[in-house]
Amino acid sequence: MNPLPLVAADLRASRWGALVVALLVGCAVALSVVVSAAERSLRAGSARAADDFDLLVGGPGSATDLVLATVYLRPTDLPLVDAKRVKRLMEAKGTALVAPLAFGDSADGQPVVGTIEAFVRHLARRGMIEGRAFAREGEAVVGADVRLRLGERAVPVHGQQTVKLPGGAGHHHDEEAFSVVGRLPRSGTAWDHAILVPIETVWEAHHLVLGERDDGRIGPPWPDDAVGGASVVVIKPAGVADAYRLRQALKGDGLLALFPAETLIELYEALGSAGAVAAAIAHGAHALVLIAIGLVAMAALAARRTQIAVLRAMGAPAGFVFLVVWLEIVVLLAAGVVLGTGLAWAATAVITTWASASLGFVLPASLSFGDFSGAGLILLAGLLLAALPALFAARQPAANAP
Amino acid sequence: MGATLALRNLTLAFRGATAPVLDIDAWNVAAGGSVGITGASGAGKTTLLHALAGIVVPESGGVCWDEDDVATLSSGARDAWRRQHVGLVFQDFHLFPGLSALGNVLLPMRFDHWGIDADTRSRALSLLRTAGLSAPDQPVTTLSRGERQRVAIARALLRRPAIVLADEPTASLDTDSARTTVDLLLTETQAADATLLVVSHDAGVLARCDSRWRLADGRLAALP
Repeated sequence: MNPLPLVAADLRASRWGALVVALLVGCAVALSVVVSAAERSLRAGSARAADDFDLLVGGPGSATDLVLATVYLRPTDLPLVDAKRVKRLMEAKGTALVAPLAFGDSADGQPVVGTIEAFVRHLARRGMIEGRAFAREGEAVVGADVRLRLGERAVPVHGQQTVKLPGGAGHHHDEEAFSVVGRLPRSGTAWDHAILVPIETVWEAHHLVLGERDDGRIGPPWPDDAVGGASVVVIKPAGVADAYRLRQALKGDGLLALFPAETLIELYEALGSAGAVAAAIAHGAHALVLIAIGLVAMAALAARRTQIAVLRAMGAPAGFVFLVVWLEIVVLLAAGVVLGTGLAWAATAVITTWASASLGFVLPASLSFGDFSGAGLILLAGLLLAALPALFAARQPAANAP
Repeated sequence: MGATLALRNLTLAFRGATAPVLDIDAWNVAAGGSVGITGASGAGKTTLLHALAGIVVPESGGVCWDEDDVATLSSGARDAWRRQHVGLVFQDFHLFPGLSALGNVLLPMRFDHWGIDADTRSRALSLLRTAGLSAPDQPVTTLSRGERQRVAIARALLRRPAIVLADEPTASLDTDSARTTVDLLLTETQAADATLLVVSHDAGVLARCDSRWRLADGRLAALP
């Protein structure tokens, strides 16, 4: 037997209704795929953003704030790590890198971060895109996505302004003016938008230090009166044991010391339950779609009672009628799944682009096989459920024929 | 070659009804002829056709077409027998709207064949030509009512059935279409040497049959 010509003919004859059903399935599939992909992509993207920050040390406060401010450069009021402690941290043993960071200013709408040359080199492990690290005050290194060109000058303002104020309003730090000398490689994180300047510049602009060095050099070691506080101190421990020892020691010192990866895991757990809610919604949508398809199938079947009876009267085997009805539903489902996959691709691309812009780090816009488990479930359940109306149709007696 | 029909002690009643719809002691139809059956509405004419086609099974009695007693066949075997031996023509054509004229004519072949062989296709095309349809790929929804019924007749004849059963084939057609449709039905069943049984109220149709019968109170009576 060959039910395909009849299946094709039936679908052609009711193409608009078929299209609506396929779209309905497509939307449900896209919903589930996107929910799954977005959640995974958020985890991957945010974990990658924390790669450069092994151990963060901040003033006593919120761990989440510290991570968001440092890893994602979210504007947050952080309690400072005072100058005395910064100096002590600089001399801590078992470290490969200790870098104080000072947040709070911005230039050209991008965050300005005061730090030391060693941290620039840490971020530029794979080499600078162009130029070099800063070597004196008045120089700056910019992230890959900062619009300033090499050699261009800019003046930071206090606070972070994402919108340029007309007439350059705001509290300018003219003494902080810098020119760009280098560009960092792309990291796919918020740091691609950062402008890095010597931390001394920030200290002086905010009157955090009294003295000034006469030699004009920047970076540690600093004389006692020429060192200021830091928003956060980033430490790269020499080894795993050092990492835990340092964290323990610093916690005892009235400081907040944390591994951002750990804090992120806590956030993921919160996200994970949000993901579970989203997944439940997606599954609910699946169930609704399957029920809707069932109703549509039953309604279509009632409308086609005569047609089916005619087929049976003409001698069509029950199996033929079963296949016609079953295949028609399965084709609609499959079309919906294909449509949904396309929609999911488009939606994922749009969402990750939008989220990367608003979250400040790049969400990898990829779909994995696992994202399609919901779609596969719809298809599988559909294959089985479609057998019900098909069975009804096949069992319908030919005696209904007119 | 047409089939010979022999009905024996046929009774068939609807559930809950007191009198049987059909109650026929004996009725014989010779092979290859045309038989017209008339009767009041609700007399059971369609039920009689269904019983003859094995679509419904009588409570008792036999429906013997040549050697086959359709009443004793299993459900699947009746389907197969009907596919093989019976062509059906309905009052309302019952073509499939998404298929072309040719697709509709070929449909009965799809029930037990994957592909359509060249002989079958050329028979379908020649049936359509005989039926006066010049565009076999035309969607049936664009055909006139008369044309649709002629496509339905071509479909019924495709598999060279020994039996053609037509239920009020002209009732929904205008006079001119009815005449050409009956012409086609009679000449083609005759050409195919099939036994034709046609239920009709149309005196013009009945007049052209070899024999005429009236169904009343479940029994058949010969008309002049």
